Amino acid sequence: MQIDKGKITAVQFMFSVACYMQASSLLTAFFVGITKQDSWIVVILAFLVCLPFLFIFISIMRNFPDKNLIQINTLVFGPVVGNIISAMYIWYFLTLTSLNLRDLSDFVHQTIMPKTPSIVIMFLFLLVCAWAVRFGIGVVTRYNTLFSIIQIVILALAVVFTANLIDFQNFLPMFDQPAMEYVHGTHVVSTIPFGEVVVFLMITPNIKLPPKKISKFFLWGFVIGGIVLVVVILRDTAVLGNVLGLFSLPSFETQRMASLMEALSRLEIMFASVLIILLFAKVTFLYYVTVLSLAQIFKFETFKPFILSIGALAIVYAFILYSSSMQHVESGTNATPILWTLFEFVLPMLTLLIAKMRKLPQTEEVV
Amino acid sequence: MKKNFTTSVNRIISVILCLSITLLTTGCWDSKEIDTISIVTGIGIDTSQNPDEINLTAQIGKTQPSGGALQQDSAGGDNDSFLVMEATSKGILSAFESMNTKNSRTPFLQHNQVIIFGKEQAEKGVQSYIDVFLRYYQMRMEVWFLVADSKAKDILTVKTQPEKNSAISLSEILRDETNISESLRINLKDFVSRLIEPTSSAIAPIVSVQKGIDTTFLAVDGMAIFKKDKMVGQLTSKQIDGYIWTMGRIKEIPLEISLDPGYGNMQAFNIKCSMKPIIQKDGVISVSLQIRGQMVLDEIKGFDSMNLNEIVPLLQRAANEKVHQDIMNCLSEAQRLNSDIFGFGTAFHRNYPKEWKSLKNKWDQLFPKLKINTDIKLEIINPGKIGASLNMEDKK
Repeated sequence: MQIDKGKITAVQFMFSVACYMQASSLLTAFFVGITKQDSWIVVILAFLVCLPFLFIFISIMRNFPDKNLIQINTLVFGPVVGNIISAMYIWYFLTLTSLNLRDLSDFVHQTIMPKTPSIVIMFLFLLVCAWAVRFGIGVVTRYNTLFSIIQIVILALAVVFTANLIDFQNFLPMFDQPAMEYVHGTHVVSTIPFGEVVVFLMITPNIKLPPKKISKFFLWGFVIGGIVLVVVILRDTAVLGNVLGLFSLPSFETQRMASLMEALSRLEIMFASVLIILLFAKVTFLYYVTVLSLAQIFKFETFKPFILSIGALAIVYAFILYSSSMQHVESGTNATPILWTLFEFVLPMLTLLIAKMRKLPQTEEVV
Repeated sequence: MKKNFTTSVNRIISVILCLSITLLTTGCWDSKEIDTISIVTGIGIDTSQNPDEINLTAQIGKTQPSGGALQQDSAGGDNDSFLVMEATSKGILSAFESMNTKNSRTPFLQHNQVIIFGKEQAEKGVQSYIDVFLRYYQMRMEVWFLVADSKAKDILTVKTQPEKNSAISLSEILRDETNISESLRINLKDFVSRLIEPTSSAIAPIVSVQKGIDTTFLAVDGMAIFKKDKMVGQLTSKQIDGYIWTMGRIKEIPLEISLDPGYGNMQAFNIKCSMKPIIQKDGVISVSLQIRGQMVLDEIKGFDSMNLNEIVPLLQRAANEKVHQDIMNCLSEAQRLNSDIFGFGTAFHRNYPKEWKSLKNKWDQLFPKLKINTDIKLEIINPGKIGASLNMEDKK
């Protein structure tokens, strides 16, 4: 039973993946504090580490082309264990939604509108998201291509505008930190922006493409997102140097430094708008996935009744998640990556293994 | 009929939504109207009687009616383009808050041009007052960082020409300095970056008020040298030349050569500097500095009974010697104060990360003995518009 019958094209899917990862690329404080000028190395390492897992996701998609993650769980682990795992995933999706919502509100709060209460920002923001979610996958992903391209263009402009501040000496010395820091950093990057693409397992049935070709587009989306993240980190490091680790939003500070001669300066508003646009795409997608999986687990025919209640829950949850943004960074650096490993790497791997052992997709085809 | 009803309902809803956007774009609780803010153009920090407190001076730009005619009408009256407020408090923002009671508008710091520390405060330490410039959301890292040769307040209260607002005039002066070298101006990022490097010493330009014929003007000459966050000394303008030669990133720089037979002024350009830290096999460390560049002859005086072919090598050699001397002067001053203003320590760290671990702790002993080997080659490629000078032609 498929709840949302909407279909998206392969290109939309590809840019949704890219857009999803780009949204995280702007909030890099979780790991630049750990690995400082070598953060770009860590991003590349994490990218390589994630590739095998990406292929796990892809092979799950191939094996179950007409099932989303919740259905796969029920099928592979049986109804009881499957539902427990699905419930955990729903918690994971909801937490991600709230985390990103919180990121957005913290960002707006700290930089643009410090006097406006967070609840106003979150409520208005989530209202727009809810509106998009209501129309299903088609609307949720439709603008992602545009958003992704806007961000790439603005990133390119920002690199040009900061070109006179770039100092390549800032990358030296390389590999100067203890080895464990690199492992730690890689872990953070691979779980927080990269591994989160596991959410795309929820929309496999909606992709208008033979399952064999999905891998190409998934991979390309992943590559675009990864490259953007590396470029952002490279630029921030080259411009800010050792000051990089001080700030909670290094990209924002970099953008603040940007100017084209004296005439065109104070361009951080571009960054702010892009960040909000990308977080809109990301939160909408996560919101949609949460609502969809909830409807799936309770075997509803439509997910619409859940939208507003989950929205309210997400806002409240975003408030109680962390008492301050320092705590958020602290847990993003130390606790969350370990927890996320379960959802992003362990469970998908287990799913694939058990499916292979039980020869699940084949029996499914026979039936 | 029903369809018509739904479309009209939809239409009304979309109109309401569009209108509600106008409510959202006002900035909610953070709306700021231009007539409710006072735009701070410069912040000065001086010592106060109480050692725990500072005296904050804020220069606030006034918005003026555009068009020259209006301004002339009001001439004779109070025609200041800025007002200066001061307050004494423990911290910078609390000083701003205490100003609020005297000011009908709220301070707006996003357009702040300069941060000036008074000399006394710079000698006492600046670190505790820098935090707010990084933390507070209205502060920007591109703001210029300066030290006043006396009190910061004097700099911010002075009326300058042609820019009436001294903070804006300062930022213009600093912009012109970059025509020579970007190392001559220090923004908050540069300063903080130096401050958190464990071995480097930060520097900041020194600004002073000087009297002209019938005006006062600001001069940026000299560089304050900081050891940790305390100012310990300063570079003279000749030593500054040495500093920018060492740091590289020079665009164009005038060179003035005085020799026994005469005087020459040249403009050096197309300059490529490369600084390389070297650790020899026996552990001796040094820095090698390679400078390549070209010069144009702009003015010569004297050199009687010599022709151009004789003068050019003479000037060339003297120029190379002068640059070498400037660098050495600057280095010896820095070494005297044991302040690594060039960031040599960081250069060693970047290029020799392994060896650095042992060098790091004894850098304070190593730096005063550090040698710079210069390899300078500046060539005169162009004698200017004329060949031989007037007096030379006479001799022929």
